[in-house]
Amino acid sequence: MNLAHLHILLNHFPTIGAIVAVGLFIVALVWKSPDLTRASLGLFVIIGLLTIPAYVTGNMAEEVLLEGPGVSEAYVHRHQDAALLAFIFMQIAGALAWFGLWQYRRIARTATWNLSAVLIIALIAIGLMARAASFGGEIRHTEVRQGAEIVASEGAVGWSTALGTWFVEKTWVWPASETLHFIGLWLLFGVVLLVNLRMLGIVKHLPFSTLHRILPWGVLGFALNGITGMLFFIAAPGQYTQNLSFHLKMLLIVIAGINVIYFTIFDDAWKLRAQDDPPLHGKVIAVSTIALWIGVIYFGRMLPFLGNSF
Amino acid sequence: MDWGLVLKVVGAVAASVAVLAAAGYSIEKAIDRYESGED
Repeated sequence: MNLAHLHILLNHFPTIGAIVAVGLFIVALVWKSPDLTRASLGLFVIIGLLTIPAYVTGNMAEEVLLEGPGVSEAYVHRHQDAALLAFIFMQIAGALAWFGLWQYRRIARTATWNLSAVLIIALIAIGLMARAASFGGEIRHTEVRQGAEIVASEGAVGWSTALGTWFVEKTWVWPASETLHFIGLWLLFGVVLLVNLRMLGIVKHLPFSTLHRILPWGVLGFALNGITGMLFFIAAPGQYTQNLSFHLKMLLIVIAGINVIYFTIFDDAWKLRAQDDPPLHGKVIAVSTIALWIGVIYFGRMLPFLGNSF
Repeated sequence: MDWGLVLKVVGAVAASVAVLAAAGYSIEKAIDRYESGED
């Protein structure tokens, strides 16, 4: 098995998963079922997270494919551009869905604007993902190609590659993004620590609902790191695609992200009043969340040491 | 020392942090509003 296999396996999760989630979401809205609405919002968050490895393994597959004969770079770049656009919309849908879950927890309902935004953005994301998937299929399957053959013109690159080139060529962009990546890390890990330490019995005089309020700041940090991190990847994919440290970092981010949903979906944490002790599984989730994010930071820092970055 | 580069990095970071702070502040205000029942 190589990394191209992994991409073929992973890219089905966002494409099929988003269709299932939208179907479930529409049924939930028609039936006016809060539980089903929350379940489908949770599904959007999970799919948003799974879209990250689905996208980054694409560059890994590209390297494998272009080594062999008969693969047109023009078709690969067209797929890459389409995939990045779909990725962006899926991330926005996932972020809005998370916010809906968080809001539901605080005021026992989700705002209509949020539900409408999730539905519209998710539908656009499905369309864009279908387009990206179709372009991806055309890389290898010449029999499904439509229209005139695409021929790469001299020096022409896709917009995602052009964005990456701009990112590297402007000398101030990389260091500024690196600084922002660290600021995002403080925000994210700071909130992770505060919330999870409460679950472990520290600052027990605070009810969980007080700490729950700061979760969006952690998600802002995650978004900042997601944007800057993806820009690093798009700018210099070769530093990451064969890097074990990067693979492990991506794996831990997906698991840690899914772990965070615990605080917005399940009731255990929300019910904790001042001086209350959390249940054992709450403590297990807290310890694992802290450990997972430490792992993310560790493998991020180890990119040049365990892997081949920089 | 390339002061032009330093200035650009600091400027870009400061501008981004300002956007981040504004986003956080508006989220806080929105929470206040709907938790007090205004929204």
